[in-house]
Amino acid sequence: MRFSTLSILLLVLAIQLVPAQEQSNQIKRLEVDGYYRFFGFHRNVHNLYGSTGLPSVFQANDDFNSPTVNLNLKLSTSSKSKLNIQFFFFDPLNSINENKNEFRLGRKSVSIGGGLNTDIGKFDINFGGISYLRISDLSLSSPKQVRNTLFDRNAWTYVWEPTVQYRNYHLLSEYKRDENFGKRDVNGLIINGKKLSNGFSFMFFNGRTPFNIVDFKDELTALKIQRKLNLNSVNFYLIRSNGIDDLSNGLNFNNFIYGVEYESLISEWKIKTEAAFSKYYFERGDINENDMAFILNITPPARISRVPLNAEIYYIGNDFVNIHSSIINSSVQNFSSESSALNGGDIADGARPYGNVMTPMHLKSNNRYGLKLNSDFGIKNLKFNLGYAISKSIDVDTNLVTFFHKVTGLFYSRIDQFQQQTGPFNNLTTFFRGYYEKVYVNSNYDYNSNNLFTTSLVNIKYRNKLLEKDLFIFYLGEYQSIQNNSIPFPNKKSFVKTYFHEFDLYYHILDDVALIGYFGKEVIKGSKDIGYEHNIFDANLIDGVGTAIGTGIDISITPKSNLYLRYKNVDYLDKNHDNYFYNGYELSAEFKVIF
Amino acid sequence: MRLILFILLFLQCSYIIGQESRFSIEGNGRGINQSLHLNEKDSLNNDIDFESNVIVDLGIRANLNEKVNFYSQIRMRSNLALFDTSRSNIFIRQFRLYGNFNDLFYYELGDVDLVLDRYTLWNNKEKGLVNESEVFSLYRRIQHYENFQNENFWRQKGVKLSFKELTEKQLKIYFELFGSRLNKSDEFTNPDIFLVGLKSSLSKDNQKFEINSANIFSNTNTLINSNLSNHYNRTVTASYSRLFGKFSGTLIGGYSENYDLDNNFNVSGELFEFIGKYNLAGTNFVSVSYRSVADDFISLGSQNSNINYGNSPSYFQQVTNSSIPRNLSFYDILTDFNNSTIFNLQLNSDRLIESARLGTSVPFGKATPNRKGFNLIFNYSDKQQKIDYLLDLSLLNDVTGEGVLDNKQYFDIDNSLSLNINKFYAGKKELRTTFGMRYSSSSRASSNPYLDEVSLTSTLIDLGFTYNLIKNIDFLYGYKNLYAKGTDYLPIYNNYYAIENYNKANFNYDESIQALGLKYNVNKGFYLIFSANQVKVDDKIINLKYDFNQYLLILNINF
Repeated sequence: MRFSTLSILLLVLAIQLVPAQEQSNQIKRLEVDGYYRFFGFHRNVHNLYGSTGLPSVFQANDDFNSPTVNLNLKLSTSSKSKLNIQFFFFDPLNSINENKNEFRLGRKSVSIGGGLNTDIGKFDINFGGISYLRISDLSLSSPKQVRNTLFDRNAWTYVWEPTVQYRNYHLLSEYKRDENFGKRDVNGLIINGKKLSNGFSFMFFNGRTPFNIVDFKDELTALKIQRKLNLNSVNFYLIRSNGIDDLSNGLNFNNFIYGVEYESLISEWKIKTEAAFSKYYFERGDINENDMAFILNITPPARISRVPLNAEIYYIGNDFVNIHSSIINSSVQNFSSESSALNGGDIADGARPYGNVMTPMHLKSNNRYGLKLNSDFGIKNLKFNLGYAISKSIDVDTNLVTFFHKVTGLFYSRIDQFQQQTGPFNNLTTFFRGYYEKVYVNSNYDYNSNNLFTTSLVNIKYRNKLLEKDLFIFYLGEYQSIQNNSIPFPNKKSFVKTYFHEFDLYYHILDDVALIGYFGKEVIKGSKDIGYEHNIFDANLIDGVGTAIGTGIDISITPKSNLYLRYKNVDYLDKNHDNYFYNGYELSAEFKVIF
Repeated sequence: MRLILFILLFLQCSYIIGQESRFSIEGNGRGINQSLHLNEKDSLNNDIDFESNVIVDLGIRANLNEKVNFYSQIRMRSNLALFDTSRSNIFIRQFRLYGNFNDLFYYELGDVDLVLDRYTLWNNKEKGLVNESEVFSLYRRIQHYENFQNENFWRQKGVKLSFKELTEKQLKIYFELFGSRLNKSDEFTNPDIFLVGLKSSLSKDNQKFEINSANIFSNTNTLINSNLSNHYNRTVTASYSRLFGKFSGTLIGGYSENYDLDNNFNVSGELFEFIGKYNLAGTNFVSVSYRSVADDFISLGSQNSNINYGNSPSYFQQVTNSSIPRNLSFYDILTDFNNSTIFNLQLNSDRLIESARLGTSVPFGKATPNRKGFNLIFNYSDKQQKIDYLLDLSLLNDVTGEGVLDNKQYFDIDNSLSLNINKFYAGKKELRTTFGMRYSSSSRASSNPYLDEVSLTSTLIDLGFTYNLIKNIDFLYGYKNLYAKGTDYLPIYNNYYAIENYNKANFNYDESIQALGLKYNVNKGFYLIFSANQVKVDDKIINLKYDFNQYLLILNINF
């Protein structure tokens, strides 16, 4: 009642004041943008590792407390200063008796800043809540997963007019991504200097990263100096991460990354290369190590390669570590979320796989050298993205193998949120919208060389008209393996083989209505030398199969407001292991308005 | 949904309000990033501490009409030390309604700033500074802003009514009445405490007559079944000033009464002061005063400290391998911006004694009880503002011997010198150095074999340096040192603020802090500071020795 009364009073006051608007210029400028998102959600898990009778879920949020309303206010307080404020409103609509709605500052919270143009360049300063930064793959970044199913949406996914997202994805595997796509979230001070003489620019950052949790503190300082000349650019960067790895006695650690990135177009050859040196120190145990990494990415002109081709070779040393980059740390125990020193399981991107990580196409790991090949081409309405990656570990010092569950990941991560040792063998780690699994090579296995990892990716995209309406069918397949031989594809002796198949269907059946379909299947195969538990021989082969079948309707109400209805049934079974089974379904209705 | 609707309408309204000429938006935005490193000799305690936060104070000033106006300030704050928003909050930081009832009466309601004079109601500022360097002044300005330390005002919640008239005979009449609740009853042990004050003056030509009165009292009727009685503290001063050409004279007399009728307790004390001032050229002057403040002069409104020296700092609370708790250092007072317990915001009834290592002569300024003696002040600035010099010297004695028949002698001297060096050679780039020194001593010979002689000296040095490196960028340096050595007996007060015993306190204390920084001035009120700071403390009495470094980054925007 009090809100209604106050709302009416404010409305009356606002209406009274409208005629006076043009009289003043007290506020230089105010911009407001954001979204409203209602997310009604129902889930029923029939069986979870032998447990039945689990309660159904009905709620108006997506289990991750995503905001109902996100309001971004940009207030220019003078010609040189500004305020950015992000508000979140969270209203789970529980009941009229439970006033659980929340009003809080969003992750960006408040930030202040300003900028000025001088004779020597353009400078701006920003301090405050979360910003997103990217320097390079080896320095400050997060992985870019360009190829993915479009069925599942998240709180930050944009709202498009019908077919726009699928059309863009069909053409370029690209559409408007989240603000943080490929970037690392940070908070603190950012100073940018642009348009300096001789093509120079710089970026300085000092502040915090998501790894600042109660018992682990990490302060990051980054400096990037860039010089651009025509189509060439060179970046020099330095990153220093410094903090405490244990609160009780305050022992500290640091991690320095120095590097250079060079990008050029030479005789139509597009070349991008990066080299970096990493050094880390842990006061605990006086651990002091360093290593280097190198990436060379080449795109030859089509007249030479005949088909569009991108090739990448890389070497990332086993002691090269940088948890703020898009490189997975699989070999430095002290920086792993599996270690007690850096336990990051309860933060959004803190859970990081360790050991022999079976990397998807969009990820690279340290302790590896390898090759990646990608090609995009099309034949009429068919578009193909093909990818192949092979890498070899430099040093094998663990029998742990980890891999992601691509098809069932989102469903399971909502059931068992942010857990580090869960599942029937305590070998699953769930993180934000996904989970990974740990298995072990039999400790008696006789290694004769380092492990070989292969990944193949096939993305086939088809577009046509059916009854004069747009129809899209996408297939995304990814096949990974790890083996201790030299055969560069999954084979009988592979320790683990994973196959992921995903189909997306989009049919624009009416002007403002589209039918959506999804089918996904993941197959996990383990050899006789692999078991779920460390140092326990398991005669039963790992043989997991997960399937997800989904359907939905997209209804466009206005160009910036859509209704999304989704249903997905998911199950996962390892038939060779008792109770390694779960199944259930989730149903959601999302109404999203962008303003 | 209702909340969402409300907020959306609030924002819509705010935006429209912001565009409307009767409304204006103003405020302050500030981001602070601190990284602290304790020295490595200490292997037990946390070696590193990070603090980071950003605040925005969004003030709306509404000039609705002559009779009703308001100012409200909303604070949005995020603690960025952890990477989430669990420590983000929004709240109303200030609200004040104000206006003129008519041509004569003006009112304020809400957050009001209250002050009378040095003997009745006065906020005694912290003592650890004499002509402080610019870098430390910048830190202190933030602390003062955060803790509503505006000149010598006490920021309280209450009401203020003032009357002002200029008669046809050019007689200026001013009258101010205010009231505030200093403490809200918890219904069990802490009663309501109220403050009612009066300020009045008559002035004409070169004469001024002024009466100030502060009354602080408790009301135990708001407690449930309490045996507590009501305490009353009343102070009143009257002063008369007259200007004779370049000479001015002021005579002040005052009286305090502290009583509890239920327990037949009643103590009163008096004071008087004479100030003679001779105005030299420009703003220069020399003044000499003599005062005598009785040992029973009790004024809760002015015998207060704005610092809670007994509270703990936020970081490195225990140091050394013996895990000794450390007290607030100068540096904590300057830069522990998140610690809301350092500054005493509540004008409460406790009569705190400032840390005695800063000297025991005048812990409550001129209102310090049981002091009599002379004070000399000399101020000199040249026309070109090359030199700015201030001397403040006091020679005081006890009015009544504290626990013994002998009186203590106190000697205080403050020297402040600022040199704008670039003006000596007409340099365009600012080059300025500041120097300040305070020496304070108390002494008393021992005529009692069970008492040691009192001999305590406290020396404070402030040194500062500012150089304009290039356009908009200043190089800053600041140094501060406190050295205290000796013995004194510190009074212990009972519930009625009467001395009931003494603590013998020994000091051999050396504290120094220094800062080296760069300040980038984007424009007035919009600046960025990066500084490296070092703190060293050596307390030989309790064998406490530690040092730490801090890197501090401040971005400030006033709008």
